[in-house]
Amino acid sequence: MSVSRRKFIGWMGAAGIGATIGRSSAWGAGNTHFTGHPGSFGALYDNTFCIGCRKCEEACHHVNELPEPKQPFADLTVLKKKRRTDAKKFTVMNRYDAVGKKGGVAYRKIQCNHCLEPACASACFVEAFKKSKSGAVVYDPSVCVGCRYCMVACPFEIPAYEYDNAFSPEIKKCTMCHPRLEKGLLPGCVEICPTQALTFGKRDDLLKIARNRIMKRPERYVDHIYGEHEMGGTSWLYLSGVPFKDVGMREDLGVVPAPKLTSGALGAVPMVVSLWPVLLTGMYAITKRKEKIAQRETEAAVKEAVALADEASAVKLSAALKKAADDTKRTVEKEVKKAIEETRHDDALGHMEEPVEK
Amino acid sequence: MKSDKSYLAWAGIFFAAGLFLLASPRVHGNAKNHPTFPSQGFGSVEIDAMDVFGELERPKVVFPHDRHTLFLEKKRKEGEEKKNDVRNDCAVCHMSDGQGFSAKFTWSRNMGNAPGMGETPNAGQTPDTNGIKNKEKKSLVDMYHADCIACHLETAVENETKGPVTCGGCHVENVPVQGGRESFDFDKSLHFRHVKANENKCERCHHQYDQTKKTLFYAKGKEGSCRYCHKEEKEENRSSMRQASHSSCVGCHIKAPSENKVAGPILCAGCHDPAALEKIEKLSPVPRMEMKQPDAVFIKKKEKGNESPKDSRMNRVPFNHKAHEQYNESCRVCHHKDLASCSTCHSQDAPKDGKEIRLEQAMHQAGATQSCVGCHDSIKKRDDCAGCHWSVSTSKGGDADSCVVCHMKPLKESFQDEAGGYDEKMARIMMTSREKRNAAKRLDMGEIKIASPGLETIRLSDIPERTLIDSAADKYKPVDFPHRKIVLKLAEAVNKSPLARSFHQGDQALCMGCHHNSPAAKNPPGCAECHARPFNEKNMFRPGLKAAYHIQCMECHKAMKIQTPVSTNCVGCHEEKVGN
Repeated sequence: MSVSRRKFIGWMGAAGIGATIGRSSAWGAGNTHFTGHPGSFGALYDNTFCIGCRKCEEACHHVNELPEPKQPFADLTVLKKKRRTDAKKFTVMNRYDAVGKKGGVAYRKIQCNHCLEPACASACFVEAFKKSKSGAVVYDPSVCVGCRYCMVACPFEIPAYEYDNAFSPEIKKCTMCHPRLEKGLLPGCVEICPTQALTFGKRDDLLKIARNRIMKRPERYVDHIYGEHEMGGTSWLYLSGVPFKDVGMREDLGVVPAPKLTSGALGAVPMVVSLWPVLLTGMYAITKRKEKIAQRETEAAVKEAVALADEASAVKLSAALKKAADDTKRTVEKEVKKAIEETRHDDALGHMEEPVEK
Repeated sequence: MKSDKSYLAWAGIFFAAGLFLLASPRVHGNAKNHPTFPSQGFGSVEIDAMDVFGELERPKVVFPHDRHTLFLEKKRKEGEEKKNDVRNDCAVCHMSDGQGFSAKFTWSRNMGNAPGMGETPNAGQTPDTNGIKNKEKKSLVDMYHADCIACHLETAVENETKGPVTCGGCHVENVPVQGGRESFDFDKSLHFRHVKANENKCERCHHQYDQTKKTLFYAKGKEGSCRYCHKEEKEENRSSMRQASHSSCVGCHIKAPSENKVAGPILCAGCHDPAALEKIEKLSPVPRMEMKQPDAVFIKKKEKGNESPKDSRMNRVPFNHKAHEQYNESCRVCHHKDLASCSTCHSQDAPKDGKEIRLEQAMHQAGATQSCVGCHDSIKKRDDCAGCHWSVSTSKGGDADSCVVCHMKPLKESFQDEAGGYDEKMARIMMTSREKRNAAKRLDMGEIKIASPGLETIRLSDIPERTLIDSAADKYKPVDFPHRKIVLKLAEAVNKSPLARSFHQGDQALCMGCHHNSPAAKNPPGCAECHARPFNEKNMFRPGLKAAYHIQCMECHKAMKIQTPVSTNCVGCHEEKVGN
């Protein structure tokens, strides 16, 4: 197949434009801050009301049909250990010692935070993760290739892999009970919480509720809504009576959404892939051509130099010959002159003694 | 041009430097195991006199003050036995004016004009407390080194406990100065003990400053808290509180034993160690301070000339000064700047520059410990009160009914003006009437009678004894809620506190801890009448019924420190249905 020059330039132009567009519109990481789909849902976890009863864990297992754990949910001794979510636990409750707080303990519920701009989705190259309009970050196992990039990408260490499933392993995490939301039901954990430590609603309303609680009882809360801006904002929000780091929550995440952190580098990939071969080939060709020209020029220069040298030596030779001839001539003349003068002198002397006829 | 190799080399160097920086955080930090500082505990002072010279070559010295004091004490006793006239007292290090010692450390040995040990350099003169700052760095360094080391060597010769004489012996990094040093509060109990010990001679501590003569003098009846003049930091020629208290308190405590009196502590730990603080004897009740203060006053704006009480728009507030003296640890709790009346500074007239805090604000400012409302709010955080008041808004002071608790209607009694003035007498009468009413309001667990107009009388029989809560009836048996028992428990708490008795105007106020957000009534609405389905967008701040029950019970139990039933123990309240 032959490619015309015009066609080739056309392709290159498209690739270049593609590269620049790819940079600015990498998913959800434009120059405007994405604050979630309007009216999307979320949950507010207020640990000042949490009593650590683990009912949320129980409900989560029930609605997601997860295998029963070895220890029953009523057994609160498991709270002695710091646990994390895995393929068989979509949410866990952890207990922390809280210094200076009434009761001396503080709780933390861990589950997927359902980021507004999820790192897992931006890391996934088959788009198995999607931020749905409802607010849930949902997973499509049918396209998943099992690369587990999402697990690496997630700053909250939430996606878990079914390592014990040899043939069709999937990524597992909290779905915000997306299937239940579609049926108009509350997420399992929210529904069962006895103290409404979990409030469900539109994210915008939850922020209002959270701000209202802090304003009404400033001494009860840390003046911060975790998840309002963390990693660009999450659908799951948190209020706490103790500093968030004291309940094991990361405070070093910043407010930039994960995709924005990677879009620069990832946006450059198409450019590198398409433009670099051309660029390198071009550079190679130019180098080659330069070499050729240089060689030709050297040869010419040598030739010229040789020619010039020949000419110069000829001139020199002739000059030398001429000079030699001149010298000979001059010497002869000198000698002749000398002889004549000598003769004249002798004549003068002779004339005094005896005149000599010339 | 740099070769690749040289880049690699640089990268290597930076990496190594980085590792070094990371790996070397204060290796000498473990002071606990340091030989020179076996256990510093209390009584150590960081020598920070060199701070004015910027960064120092060696770590600051942490000086074990109490150890030196004890050592001198020991030497002094030995000296007395041997009839030695070498003085071994504070003057070894501290400058003395012949009467007391300057709390600031000032060497007398090598720097002053009297070189002998224990001699006072400028006897009769005021110690030069600015001395250190005005000295050259080198002379200051030499002073410390020469004097410390000389003394340590002297004592070493005498085969005593030897102080360090090498650089590293004193300049040790990261020595904890003191753990949990408490600032010392001179409360009214201690004040009374000092009054008694000093036979009512207030002038032994209290003084005023004469600006023109530049001397201290005593003015009878004008005594105030030390802190009114001696602030955190030194101001002009007025020493800081820290300095003033150390030189006055310690100075007197040192002298007291020679006068055969019980003396207060002279070691740092005596006043600053939390364990020692607990051992200080506390009087209960503390006899009233004799300052000719009134028993009762009206809190009112400053009167100009012959203004009548009618000129105030709000009814004037009678204030039980005598009772509040008992409630608080010192006069400074309310009289935070001086002992003058509130309206001396907090005027109710148009503000002069808009900056001053007006009388209304000064009395109602929530969160300010000196204000009435602020202080009363802090009492509501006590276990007995917090059960209801964790949720009842505190800053607004509740409903309008509570205003008249303080702003009482003036009584129409007439009486002869007598000593103490009309106002004091009137205030006392009004308060007595309020006390009487409050006493009548005591909830006699039998019949409850209230005299508040407009509110219905509640009898014990009006209060439901038990309530069945059956909204979780699918899984559990109905909760048998001991309603009357809880009301009586709250009533008991109210009865105990005069403050609570004053403010729980009607008995319905008791009900409103749980039956909140609806007007006081004999039959207030139940929980389920307002709380229903959770997460109602139209009413997003209102919890659902299940949460309302749980939050109300659990938060109250938590606030009142009621341990049982444990929140996570469902069957503690909900009996499980059989066969479930």
